[in-house]
Amino acid sequence: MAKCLHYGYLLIFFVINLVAAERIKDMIYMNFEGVAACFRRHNGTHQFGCSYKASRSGSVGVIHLVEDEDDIRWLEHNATAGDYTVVLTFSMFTRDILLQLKNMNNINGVLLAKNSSQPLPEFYSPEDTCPNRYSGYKQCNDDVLVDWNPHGSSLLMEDWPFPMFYTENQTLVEAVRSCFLKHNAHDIENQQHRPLCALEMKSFMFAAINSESCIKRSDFKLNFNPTQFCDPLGDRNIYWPLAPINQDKNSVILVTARLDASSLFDGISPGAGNVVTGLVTLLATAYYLNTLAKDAVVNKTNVVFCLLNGEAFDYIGSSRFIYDLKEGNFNALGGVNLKFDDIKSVIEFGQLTEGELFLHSNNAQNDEVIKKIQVALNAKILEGSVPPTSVQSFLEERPNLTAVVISDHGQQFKNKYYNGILDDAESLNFNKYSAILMSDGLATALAKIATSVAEILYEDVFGARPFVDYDSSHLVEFYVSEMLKCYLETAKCTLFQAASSPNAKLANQVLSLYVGVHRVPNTATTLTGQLLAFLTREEVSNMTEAMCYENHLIWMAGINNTGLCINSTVNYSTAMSPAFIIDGYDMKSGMYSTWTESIWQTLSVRMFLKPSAATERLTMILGSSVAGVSFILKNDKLLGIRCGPHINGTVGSSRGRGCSSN
Amino acid sequence: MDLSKIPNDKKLYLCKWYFRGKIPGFVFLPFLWAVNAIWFAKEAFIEPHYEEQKQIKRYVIFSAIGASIWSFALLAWIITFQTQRAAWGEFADSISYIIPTGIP
Repeated sequence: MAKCLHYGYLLIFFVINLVAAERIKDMIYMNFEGVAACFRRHNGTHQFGCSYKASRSGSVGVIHLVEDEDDIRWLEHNATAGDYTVVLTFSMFTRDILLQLKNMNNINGVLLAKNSSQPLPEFYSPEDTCPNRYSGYKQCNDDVLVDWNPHGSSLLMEDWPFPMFYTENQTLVEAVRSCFLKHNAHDIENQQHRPLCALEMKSFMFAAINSESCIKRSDFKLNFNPTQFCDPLGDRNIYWPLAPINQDKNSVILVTARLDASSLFDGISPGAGNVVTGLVTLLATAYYLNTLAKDAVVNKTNVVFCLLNGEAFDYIGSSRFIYDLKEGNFNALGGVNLKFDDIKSVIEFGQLTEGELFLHSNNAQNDEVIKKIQVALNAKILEGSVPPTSVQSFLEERPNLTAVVISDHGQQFKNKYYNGILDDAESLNFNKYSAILMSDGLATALAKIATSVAEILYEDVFGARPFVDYDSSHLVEFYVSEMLKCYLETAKCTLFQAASSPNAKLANQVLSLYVGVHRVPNTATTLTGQLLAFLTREEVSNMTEAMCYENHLIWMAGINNTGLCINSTVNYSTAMSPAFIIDGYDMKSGMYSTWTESIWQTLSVRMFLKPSAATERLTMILGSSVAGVSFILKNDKLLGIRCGPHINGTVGSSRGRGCSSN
Repeated sequence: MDLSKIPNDKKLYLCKWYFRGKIPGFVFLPFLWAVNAIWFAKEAFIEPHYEEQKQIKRYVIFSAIGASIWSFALLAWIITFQTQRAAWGEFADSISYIIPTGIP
């Protein structure tokens, strides 16, 4: 009896321990929060991005800090501890090194760690030297050697057989480094005999081969348990017409900018120099033109502002826009069918910074508006030059269309981090404090472009010079710097708050401008659309929130968060490639964008101490022996243990009670 | 079921039943054949002679042959399919019940 009591206490002790103590999992592993993963994408013919061979359970590799070429050579020739996970800084995260790692067969993962104490790399662009090489009007063929993006390493255009993650969390970087130094680095030739610091990365991707096959697999109807493999990229384009579109004949100047950037890592696509500058300039131009044209009436020419999405992936937004125009399906503007012939000219805001400006001009010799813009901005004309942006789509459709791109670069980008994770506020030298004082060089430069273009457009549309007062043009600069803050520092900013519904919760982080998959609405697009509506608003006074909604108007917070009812003509259209809506489209034809993104289940990284191979073997042998012995013990016949009563004349289960040896 | 406890004519009936599979589609029952061959092997070859044994022996042998042909064919198909699936592309997907993730 006393013995039973003891066992009872012991049981209670174990139960309490089990419930109260730290979980074994947490004692073994250190989870990495806030790491960004490289994931898999497809186009019509290929597979890009990262995934571990074919294992869902994650890939494990012993940490090795790579600081120079010698470390790579050591990994290739002298490494003994099986599979490795390489930890790199930006200086080593180059195409050559990564290709070397790809060709070795003992690399199970790459962790890119940003070391804030080191200076930023001179350049880092994972994009191709000629972005969107195989699509658009002027493709980069071998006979026309144009390197728009001279620093491009084409990392985005490779299929990596190992997972890659990125972290800028200095605590994590330090933890990895100290764990490596403590366990792995000393007596490195004999490291395989000790427990070693290792990383486990999970980023298993479902899709494979190419877009065509993964879409077909997703649509596979015979399967009772259908799995999604991939989704087409896409989102929405945003439009705002200066005046209502006519039912019959239109003459429209299109002012466009791109809305999306890309990068190798999930959730980080700041696109500061690449996209934000042009985007903000477009918004400011729309705002200013709207202020100037408050009471005027449009007679023959109209202006339509459009923000095109998915342009980083073979011009998804612009090609769909043009497809819709041609098919007579484009009615996002007041339900009127706009036609491609209605487009008089296209003006695109490309990458912009302070300093010299260029006009990449096509068929614009006789265009008054373009001439005036050239003079006002003192821009250098590059005749017949077509940078890899949205105009490529328009010119492909009609090579004699008047189209210009206003940009800060000539034949080569000035942006050193094009479509990279470092293309952020820091690379633009954007300083929030100077922006508050409104003496920021960038904001001033962009505001100047916006006001000049808006005034020239006004003159062309209304046939008279606008009345310009100092205040309103000054306000443009204020809005530009506020908008830059929204896109470069944090989405939790005055203007986004003002343009959202009251009490809307905005994330305190830099928006990722990656277009994403078409079935998930992109936050950046939504906020930008609302911001454009707010900037070009027609206020409806004396409205409560309920009345505002009843009249199908938009209720916004407004600058001082008091609530504001506005009437807006901003609208969206689908920006998903025509390739996915045309029946029987040949995905290999290269006519339209065919980009898709793979589905994944988990993206995670954790660090732990991996036992040496000898210990692992011992554990395995011990485990198997115990399992074997227990199997033998269980087998009653071998030991002659007879169990239980006879049921229906057969021998009862040995698991039953009442076993006795005979 | 303990074979030693049932009468001989019942054994023959059982063995035949397993061989023919009762239903017309008996050719698709290779596993039944395999079971038959193993289960009645002792009856057919080791037990002392009795009247129905000759017939049982016949069924056992045929079952064994059928089962081995079947398993050989199945093995050949499985090896072919598993190694060639990726190369066959869309056709292979269309005859698959479960499509693997992450690989061609």
